[in-house]
Amino acid sequence: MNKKLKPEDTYASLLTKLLRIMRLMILMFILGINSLLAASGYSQSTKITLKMSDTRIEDVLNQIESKSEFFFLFNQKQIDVNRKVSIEAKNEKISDILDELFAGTDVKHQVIDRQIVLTTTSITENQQQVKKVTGKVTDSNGGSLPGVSIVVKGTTTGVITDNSGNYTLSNIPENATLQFSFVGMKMQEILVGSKATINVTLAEDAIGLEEVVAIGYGTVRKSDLAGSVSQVKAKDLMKIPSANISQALQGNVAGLWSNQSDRSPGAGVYLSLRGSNSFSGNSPLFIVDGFPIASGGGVEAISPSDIESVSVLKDASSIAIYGARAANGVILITTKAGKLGKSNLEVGVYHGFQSFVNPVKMLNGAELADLRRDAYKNSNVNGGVAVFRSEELEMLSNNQSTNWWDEITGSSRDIGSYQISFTGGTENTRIMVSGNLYNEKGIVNNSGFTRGGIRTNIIQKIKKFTLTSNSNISLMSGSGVTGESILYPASIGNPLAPVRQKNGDYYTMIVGVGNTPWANPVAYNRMIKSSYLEPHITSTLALEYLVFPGLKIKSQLSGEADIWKQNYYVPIKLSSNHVESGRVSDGYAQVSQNVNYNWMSENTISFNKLITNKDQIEALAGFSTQNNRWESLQASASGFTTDLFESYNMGNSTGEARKPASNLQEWSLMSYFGRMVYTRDNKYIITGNFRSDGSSRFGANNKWGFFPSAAIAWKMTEEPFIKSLNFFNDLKLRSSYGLAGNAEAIGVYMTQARLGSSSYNWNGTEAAGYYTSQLSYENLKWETTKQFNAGLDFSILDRRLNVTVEYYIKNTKDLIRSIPILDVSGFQNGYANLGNLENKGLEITLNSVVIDKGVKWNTTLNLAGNKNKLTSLGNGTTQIGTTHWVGQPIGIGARYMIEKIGIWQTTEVAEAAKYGSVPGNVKYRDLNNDQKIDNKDRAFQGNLTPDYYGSLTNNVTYRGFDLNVFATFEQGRDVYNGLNYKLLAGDGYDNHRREILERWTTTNPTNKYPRAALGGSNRSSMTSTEFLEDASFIKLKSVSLGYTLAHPIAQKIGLDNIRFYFTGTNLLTFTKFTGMDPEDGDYSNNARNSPYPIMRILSIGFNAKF
Amino acid sequence: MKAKLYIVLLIWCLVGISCKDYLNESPKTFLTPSNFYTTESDLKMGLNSIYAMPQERYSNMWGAPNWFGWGTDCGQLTPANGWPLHNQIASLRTDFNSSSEIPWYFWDYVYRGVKNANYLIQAIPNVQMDETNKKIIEAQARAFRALFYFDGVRIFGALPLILKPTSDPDALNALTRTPVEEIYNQIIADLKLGAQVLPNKWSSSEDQGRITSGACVALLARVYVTMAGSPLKKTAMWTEAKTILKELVEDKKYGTQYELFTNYSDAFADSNIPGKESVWTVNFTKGTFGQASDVHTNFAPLELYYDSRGGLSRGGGWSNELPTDAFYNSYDKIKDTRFKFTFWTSTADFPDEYADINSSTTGPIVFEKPHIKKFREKTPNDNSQGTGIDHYIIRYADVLLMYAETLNELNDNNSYKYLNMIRNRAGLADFPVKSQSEFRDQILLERAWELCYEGERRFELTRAGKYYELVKKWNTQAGSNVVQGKHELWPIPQREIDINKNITQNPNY
Repeated sequence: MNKKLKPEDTYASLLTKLLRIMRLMILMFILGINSLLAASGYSQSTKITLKMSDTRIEDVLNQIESKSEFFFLFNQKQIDVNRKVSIEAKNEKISDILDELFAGTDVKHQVIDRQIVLTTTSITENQQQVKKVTGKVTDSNGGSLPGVSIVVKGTTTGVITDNSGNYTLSNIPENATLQFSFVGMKMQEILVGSKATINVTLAEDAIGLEEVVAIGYGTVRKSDLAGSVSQVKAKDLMKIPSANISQALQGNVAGLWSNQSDRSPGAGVYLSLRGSNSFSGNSPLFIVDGFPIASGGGVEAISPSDIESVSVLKDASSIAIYGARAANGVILITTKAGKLGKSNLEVGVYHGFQSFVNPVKMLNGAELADLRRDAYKNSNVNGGVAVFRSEELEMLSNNQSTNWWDEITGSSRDIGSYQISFTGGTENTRIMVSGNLYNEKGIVNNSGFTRGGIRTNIIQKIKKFTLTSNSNISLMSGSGVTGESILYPASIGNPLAPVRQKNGDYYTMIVGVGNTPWANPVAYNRMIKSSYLEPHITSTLALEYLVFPGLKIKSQLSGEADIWKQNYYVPIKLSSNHVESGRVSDGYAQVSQNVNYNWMSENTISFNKLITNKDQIEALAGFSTQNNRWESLQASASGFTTDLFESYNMGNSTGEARKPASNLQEWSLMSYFGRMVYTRDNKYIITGNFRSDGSSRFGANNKWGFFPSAAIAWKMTEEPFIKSLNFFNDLKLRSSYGLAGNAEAIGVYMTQARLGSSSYNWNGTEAAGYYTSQLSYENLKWETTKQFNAGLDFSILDRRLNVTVEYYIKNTKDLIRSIPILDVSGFQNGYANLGNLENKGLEITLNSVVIDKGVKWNTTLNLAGNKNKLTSLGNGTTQIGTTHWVGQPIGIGARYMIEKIGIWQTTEVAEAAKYGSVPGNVKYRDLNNDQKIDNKDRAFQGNLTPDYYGSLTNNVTYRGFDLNVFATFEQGRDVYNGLNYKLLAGDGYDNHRREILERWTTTNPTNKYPRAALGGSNRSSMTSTEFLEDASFIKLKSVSLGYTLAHPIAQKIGLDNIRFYFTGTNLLTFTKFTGMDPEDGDYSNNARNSPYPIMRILSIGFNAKF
Repeated sequence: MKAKLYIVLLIWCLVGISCKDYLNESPKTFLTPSNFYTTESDLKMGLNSIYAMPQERYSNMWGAPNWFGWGTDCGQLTPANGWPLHNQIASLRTDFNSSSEIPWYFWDYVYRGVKNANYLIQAIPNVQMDETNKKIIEAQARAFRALFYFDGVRIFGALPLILKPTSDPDALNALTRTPVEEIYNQIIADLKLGAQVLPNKWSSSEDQGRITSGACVALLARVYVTMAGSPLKKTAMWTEAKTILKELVEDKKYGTQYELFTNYSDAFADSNIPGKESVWTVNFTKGTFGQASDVHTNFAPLELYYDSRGGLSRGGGWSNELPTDAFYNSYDKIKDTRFKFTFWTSTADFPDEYADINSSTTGPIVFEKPHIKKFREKTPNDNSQGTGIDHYIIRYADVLLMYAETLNELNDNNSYKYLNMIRNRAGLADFPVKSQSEFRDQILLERAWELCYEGERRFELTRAGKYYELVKKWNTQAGSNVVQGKHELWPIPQREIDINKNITQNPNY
């Protein structure tokens, strides 16, 4: 029987359904892949037809490779591949063909599944005792390692481990040494001796010298990198429980500044790479598996555990290939793919418990009452007798006090994350399927965020074609009111105000007498229904064709759909007193929906050729088009007789009809791009890049922008004079210069003229009229950032210390800003590209292996600093409003303020009187000595951005144990904590911080906090240094302790291995900042706003591999 | 192998070719000049917003109905008004300077009007429609552009002349003032097109209120007589004026509809505008669509606004403009019917609507000065909402007086005939034959009696070259402050000079 869903069941049932589908899909894939992997005996069953005459051996081998799945392993020095042969074979087995091919030579062949090893007998000839060795290769966790190459040292004899990590080597001499090597692992050499079984555990290569780094439209070995790219590995992204990738990236990259001022469930983290480039829009471009994401949901929809690596492209030579959108840096996300020969089922689960540890201590009711009495007395208002409402008096007499933060937050809220993934791969098919569910209950009551997703990544080779498909389907949902409308009253809420009135209704005079009632946060929190659903789909399909070895063409189609829908309802009892609903009576319902579609088509051609033994050339060219369509729809209604319908039956409203609103914005981008890399002698690397972007956003006369760049790298360790020093294991000098644009500084349709309406009445008949109300900006174009980068990489002490140092200067020109224009145009303001700014900075990344014995201890330090300066506004303009000044960092206006120099003391009565002040009031510096404190006494104070910031990560492993200690830090950023203007007001109306107990009195002549007084008479209402706080901090961001149950034991319970771990997040913060968290933003003195609480999270979890 | 490569490359390149329009934005959520002006109806809607512009000049800006009456021989500001921006103009205080707000508002009004006209004119050629109708739309837009520039050039002197919409900020900010004569040449060209192309009378009922060939000719006559006077003194223009005024008044070349109402007061009855005295009017509609006029409130008594029996809803207002004593006393108060229709005091010429207030036992309201009741809303006398009384931009009486003036300047004694038409209607006897110069002075006074407070007085004085003399003589508020060679023009807004220092300031500001 078909059970009908009740509306309120929708989320839960959708998620359950999602999980069910996920399980089913995974099962299907497991069955499917297993059957693929089961194929065996290829070498026996495959027959090949060949007919070639007077052909080089090499070409014959290539022909075989292209006609079959075989591939050859041989040493060119031993095998003469240039010898010409003629061969004719019809449906012959590979071994027979090879016998014929090498007849009469000393070349022997050995066929191992699809690998064919060609060797000469000359080396093994004189060995006397030959034997057979078998064994298994595992990683440090006990997991089997397929694909490890095992070579007899000094020969080309070798094999590769099978799917289970097993190998067999026959006919090897006893005195042979076996070399075990695998990408990302340290090579090991073992003397065979008398052993018949050699099991090897390969250790991960901490240095990752041969690490492959994703760059724009390709990958490069880290050692060959000429630009500036920081790569973050999956492991580092999983240090802290993260709802999304922006949270996971915090502190992981030198030069990527993160700031988490919104900590509500699922919220993103502000990321800014190498300083601010623009007045508008500083966010980096996110590219997921080659697809630039255009919707906000697109990045949040990715489960951090699905990510293989993140590359942060920093310098011009890395970003220029993304042209007009890349000036703020590019973050390339590569999701996990199946690995060759390795099938895994992995399950990762963690559960976290969040608690609110409020660093702001508040007064209780009685203390507040004392303060108010003091304030009335000091201000001599109402004859010096404080006024209390009857509810306050009652609370006082009952010795009651309301802690509003406690009322709206919970003591422990959990986070659950569940991830299952399957990976598998043969040479032809590699697959990764994962399902994930992340569920976070917010620390603020009734708030939460959930994401469930399924990802499928497939790579399929069909002859010379390679098909890649990456798809992610996820559903995000969030609920609860978490904004300033409840956080602000929770911060300043009067402790003498009861939560409810006698009649059971919520009490509304949360702010003390004399002020307008501010809504009761508990009522808002409990009664307002707010939730959103956000399904998101991203899918990419790419087809690559190998034209001939070295030349590939690739076509990629990608699409993204992001649908965000919010339902919002303010119940009957609240709506008439609720600002956001527009103060309507009898309930307010609203449904909003935004839909974003983004698609891209991209074609690239790439070429790679060793021209001579010394010169290598790689080239890439591409063409791409992208289009984005954003639509929104909003409907609202008011006037309900019952709260039951919420926003799900708006037709039932009786209030005045409200117009629905809808909108559409489209943009498109067309691009040509290319790259050329020339490598000489593996010593010098020269890279040239360009991209030409045409954007619909640009003005009609400036549709195309061109962004070239170049880089050069010198691997100095390849020079004999450096080698002979025997000091550097690695030494590389790099430099780059180029351009990138910021197209996002131009909003969609911003260059378009607009018509406004102005009707005319022809004697009673209204006639619509239109006129041009906004100028068009045909010349408006992108902002251009020129960047110079110099980098130095070196490894010393047997690669135990690896250092990267980067220095950059960025000059951004053609800043887009509004300028006054002659009103002769009929307009007063227009946009123009006018102004320059500069960012320069230094980044240091340090990796070291401190101890490498039984105990292994690795340390990573990231350190970066950036200086920002507005260098010109054009036209001789020296400032924009009171926000931006030439010669200062952009936005410096927020630090233009008067300076507090103390508190007027009783000995200074006369001096204070000159300023109309009295002892106990805040004393300010009178900069111009005109005996009044006003705008003219302002000066720049403090820093907007940190001097330096970074992180320190320590990894210690011992046997099965691993310990990760992750600390982030920031020095020199000042935050204007204007909330303290309220919380230290000294009037005893709104709640106050406990520090006000140390306020100035005649017996406590402090210079810190002024006297109690009413109406802000104890200090200036202007922004002053009193609340400008040093927000430098060191945070013990996380400590994680894990234990891995290794192979032998794990296998007994049916597992390859399993790691259990315990993580503590936001454990300790060392800071002088007095607000919620030093990552908070500025709040002005009268901002009705407050930060979201900071949570400590304790989590436990496991990762199991089957 | 090479062939294969070429084929592959060719296909790859073909994939890359896409349509040319790919990078063009075509917004659907708002109108742009490029996506909107595609049909005749679109152009007409563009025209509607241009027709609406003079509502600002004659009503909607702060005290706009009084801007060109203040500081003249006829009008002054009530002392009860403390607004600096009003007082600056009314008393020509020294703080009436380039930073004053009203010159800036007016400058902005002129150029918004020009901009709206220019955008429309630019759009016309691209619309597929009947060529004759195209020309008719263009002629209306250009006539209005002429109206805006004519106001601008009379109050600011030389102005940047802009005839095509420009959006390049650099090009815009480089514009400088174009000599007065060049601007007049453009105005004449624009109006001549209207005189030639526009109908004498619109046939369809929904087109009533549109400007006609007669409107353009009348404005052109006003342009000619202005050019003939100060400061250009191009006396040859009197002949030009005579030619077209004769066609308009005597030959009825531009329609037979223009006549004077029998009674002066009839010309201001709501139902009679537009009517036979309307040559060019701006339409207002009571209370609705934001199309209502505020003219009446500007003139209505502040005393009535403050009185408990009054208030805005009982006919109160701002007393923004009051007659100067000299002008008030210049009338033949007994015979001239215009006097009783134009003025009221708390004891005399009280409109019927206020009879109950006047006869109240608590005593009549005391007005400090005589008030102007010419434009009042009678039914009901509620000033809390806008009135629907249309406003004359050019009234036929003005045309007749221009004709009389022109004939006098050309020594044609037919001038008496047209002056006397105006005088006789007002109940005055024929003007006795006098010298040319005495007739000239009489015309200036007669214009004041007939046309006062309709929005032209300042310009009549300046073109007569008597602005300084008459303000000094008759206006006690501005008379001691007025500076010859300065106050004939308003200052160029400082903002514009700040943007382009090549824009010069008017003398003595």
